[in-house]
Amino acid sequence: MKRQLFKALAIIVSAFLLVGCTPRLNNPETNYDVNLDVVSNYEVEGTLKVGITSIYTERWLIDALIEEYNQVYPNVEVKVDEVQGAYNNTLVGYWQAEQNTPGIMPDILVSNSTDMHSIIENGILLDLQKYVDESVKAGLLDLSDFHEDYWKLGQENFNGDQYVLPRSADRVVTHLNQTLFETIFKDYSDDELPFTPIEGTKVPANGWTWQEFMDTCEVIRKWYDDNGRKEQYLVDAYFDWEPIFNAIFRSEGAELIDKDQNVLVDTPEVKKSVELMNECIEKRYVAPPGTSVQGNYEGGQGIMLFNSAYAQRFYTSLTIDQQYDYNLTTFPLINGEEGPSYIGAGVAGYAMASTSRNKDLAWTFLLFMLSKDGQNALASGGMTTLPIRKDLEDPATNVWGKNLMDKGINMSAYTYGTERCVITDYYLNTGKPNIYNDLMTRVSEMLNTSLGRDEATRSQKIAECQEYLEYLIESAR
Amino acid sequence: MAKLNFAGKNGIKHVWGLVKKTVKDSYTGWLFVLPLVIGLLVFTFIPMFQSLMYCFYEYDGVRVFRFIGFENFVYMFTVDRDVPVVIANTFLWTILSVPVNLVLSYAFALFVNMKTKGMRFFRILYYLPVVIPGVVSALLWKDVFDPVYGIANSFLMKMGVAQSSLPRWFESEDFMAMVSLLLMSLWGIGGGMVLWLAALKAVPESLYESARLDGANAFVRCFVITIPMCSAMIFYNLLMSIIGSLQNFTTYIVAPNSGKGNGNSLYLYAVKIYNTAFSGYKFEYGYASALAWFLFLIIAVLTVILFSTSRWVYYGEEN
Amino acid sequence: MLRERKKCTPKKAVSLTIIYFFMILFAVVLLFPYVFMICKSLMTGTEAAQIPVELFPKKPTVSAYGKIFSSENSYMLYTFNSFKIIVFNVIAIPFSASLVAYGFSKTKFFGKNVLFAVMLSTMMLPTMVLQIPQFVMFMSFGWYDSMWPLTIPNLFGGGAANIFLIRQFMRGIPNSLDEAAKIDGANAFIRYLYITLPLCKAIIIFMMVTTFIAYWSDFYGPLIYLKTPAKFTLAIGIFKESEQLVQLDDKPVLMASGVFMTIFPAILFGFFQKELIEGVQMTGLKG
Repeated sequence: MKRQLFKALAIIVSAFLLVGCTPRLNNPETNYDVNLDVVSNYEVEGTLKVGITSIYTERWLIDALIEEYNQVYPNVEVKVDEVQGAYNNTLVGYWQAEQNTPGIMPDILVSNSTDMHSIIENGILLDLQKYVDESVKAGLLDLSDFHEDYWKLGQENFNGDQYVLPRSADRVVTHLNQTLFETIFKDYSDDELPFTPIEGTKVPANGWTWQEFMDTCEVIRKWYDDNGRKEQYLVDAYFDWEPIFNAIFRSEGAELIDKDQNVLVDTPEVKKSVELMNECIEKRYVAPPGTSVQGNYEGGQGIMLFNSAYAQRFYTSLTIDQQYDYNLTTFPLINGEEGPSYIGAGVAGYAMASTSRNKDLAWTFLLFMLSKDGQNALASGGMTTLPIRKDLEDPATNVWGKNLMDKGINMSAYTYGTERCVITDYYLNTGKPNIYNDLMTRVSEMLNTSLGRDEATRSQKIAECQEYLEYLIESAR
Repeated sequence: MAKLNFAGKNGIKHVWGLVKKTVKDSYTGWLFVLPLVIGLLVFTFIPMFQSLMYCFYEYDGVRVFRFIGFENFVYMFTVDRDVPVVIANTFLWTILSVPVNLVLSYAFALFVNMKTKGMRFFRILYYLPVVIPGVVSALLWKDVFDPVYGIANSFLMKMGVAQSSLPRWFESEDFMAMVSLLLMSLWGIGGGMVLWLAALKAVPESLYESARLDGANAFVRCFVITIPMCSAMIFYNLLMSIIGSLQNFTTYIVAPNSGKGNGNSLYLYAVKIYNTAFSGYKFEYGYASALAWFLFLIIAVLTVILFSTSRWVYYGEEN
Repeated sequence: MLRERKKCTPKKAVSLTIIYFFMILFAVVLLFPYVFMICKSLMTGTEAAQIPVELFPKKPTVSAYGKIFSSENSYMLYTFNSFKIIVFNVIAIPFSASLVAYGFSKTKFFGKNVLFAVMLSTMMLPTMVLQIPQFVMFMSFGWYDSMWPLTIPNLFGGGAANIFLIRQFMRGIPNSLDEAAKIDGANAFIRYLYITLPLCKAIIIFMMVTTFIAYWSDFYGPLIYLKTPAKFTLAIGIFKESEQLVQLDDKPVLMASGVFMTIFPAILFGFFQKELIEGVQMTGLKG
């Protein structure tokens, strides 16, 4: 009797539990209305929240932009949320919490051409195409103002609906420590230098080649060894970062995944590229990846750094904080002027979250960001790179370059060789957005585990990567 | 129990009377355990049912909650490359660490239990590392075992080991990584040791006396008397250690490559579940639940096996 | 019959010495990393990065500790957060567990044994199985990035192991006092509060100490439920900081934070080591 009662109770309880178990889902409205009246209502009141990554340079930018924005829309309060940890991962956490704790997800999110694919695919970003089209129709937006090739990089699959509005046309450059260059090459005449210098200096001019880069490193390496810097490395090369390794791969003709979804990793071209990078490590120009050791350019130990980061950042950390002279030049041309030599590029920009309850108001912010005032605001906040607007191109006369150029810094490195710029997009050929990240991570990992090791290990790691990419494509869900 | 006769009004009154009496007698007890009942229902049983359900769904925490039947399990056993690696690593870890830890902690308990001077001092000393927080000890050992800057390798170099054959400890891609983890876990051996002390004290002294009179030396006494008398405790510790080892999460802190170890050498099951559910740009609650339930199944099977082969365990005060 | 005194034979002395030798050796090995951590925390950054690594600092300095207590780092905030959680739990768990244990040991009610068996069997559940739905449930309560998931559930019994432990202890308390109070007309709750609970002082203290230590080092819980640095506990805070302090110069700060985190449990251990070790031994008697 007791047992029967228990059984009955158990069944009732279980039925109850199972029934009440379907989770609440958060499917944001995809069919929304666009109301552009707000754009011309400068007295509008409201609150917006912008989510940025926790890098301090991002904070500079957004603060400058908000300040200028408030000159136009003084009654809109714009708050900033520095998203902690892995950006995309935390955003998904926000989204999950949003339905029970509204207001956690920002209205506007920063993103870039590498990271945006995953959050587009899982629906965090709002499809802005409707806003773009309506604004063009209403004369609020003119797409011919922007560099078309870079504008496209904010679109789904780089050729579809617009999700991210680019703010700048980033490309990889070589940041230098001019003080060290001047010291090392002090007694070299212009003919003796292993590179063509910028007039009046001893730093390489735009358009130097990879061979010149290697020759230069050889001289620097010897100087370092003779001058008490035996343990230090010369270059922070970031070989495992997409824009850098992709440029090298493309220059050597390596296409990681072709249009027919064939994986072409275990090929002579890729091997040649890996050799090229490995040579730098063997000759101790670059620190071996996968360890905690770095070239430490920003700390004054290394002499060069490959990155698309803004000049203002290194000007601050080198010149203002440490009294080194800062300068920059272009990323070395892998196969020289004649051969195929690519420079890695991408865009960073702002997008809207699909859960936003202030879509129209957020759109005013995004429009402002694209305007001349907005772009100049960003530039004054430290975005010292080529802006997305074509009419702000010239570094000598515009906010983004003028200040530093007047100090003798070679800002034209950011405008050099636009025709050589190339975006990482091999993964698009798979057509499976949910593995883009895994693909990129795996190639990075291949580089991290093969560079600096012996020949046999390198071949093995490349073969493993080939196999794994094939497995990823085949098993994608 | 006598069959109740429900026939007629009298039968129902009888049942209702029984119910009323039960409630009257029990309600104080029920009030005391009410927090437990609520807690069990809300925080244990409901989640248990839910997670069983999730196993058969694709659930990403936000947008998608789609029934997919056994697809998660098919993926787990046929397609996912990580699963065999993770299962192998976890089993290897358990087989390696459980015997070593049990034997060593037992041996130390035997020594500390001796009535010689100063053993109480050792007892305290050995237990001290157990109170050190896990995070701190993991980070500390990560630093000690750093291949370049760690003191372990510096020590080995001073002993004359050539630089190229220095072990890479946690950063190695082979068995060395597991060995490093084992060495780190031996630091906390005091915890196990103290648990044994209670069992050792429960062994009646009279047995030792008669053994001594019979001329048995220390070794014989240990194997013939101490160990069999402790077998209940051995069984319990064995079971708990196995269950604990299978769920080890420390590698998340010490292993490079975000908890997986180079070449997946330290990739353990619990870390895989965590990565599937909480990392990346897509939370895969369904798949992670499937993984968790599979682990539960393994634990249940092992428990049953252990219980059914446990006739060597000696309970109670029989002679 | 006179028992012979145990002779101290040479053989015995030798084996004793060997045993002592190994015990001391192992003690040194056990203590060594801790000593190393303290030493490294007293080094300057450049000294810590030298190869080959030295054990003792040549120029001891407390600059690393200065950095920890300075306002530019959040260690004090993390400690405060840890204490918030711990104070709640140290009160909630023993109280809740003893309440339930009293119910099991001193009262009779319908389904007592079944409930107890069910409770024990939940100890076999791996935490992983419950983690995900619990997480979803707490999100639905709106507890994103808060300490409530780490505290509120402990109001409901405080864990099967704890309940079991206190019940064992309570069973050992004779019922005579309880019966006497019942005759005097005290209801169950009064009897629990004024008679049984004070007798459990030793085990309650033990439980408070173990709860403190457990939640002080709790890593997995805060890892899942706490997201913004302002809410981090010390365990998570140190872990996240360690991911940032990659520069070799900063190792002493990491070590200093480790020493700092260890001080509190070590002090507790110093005061309560007798209760702690004997209490753990008693849990061992479960069998």
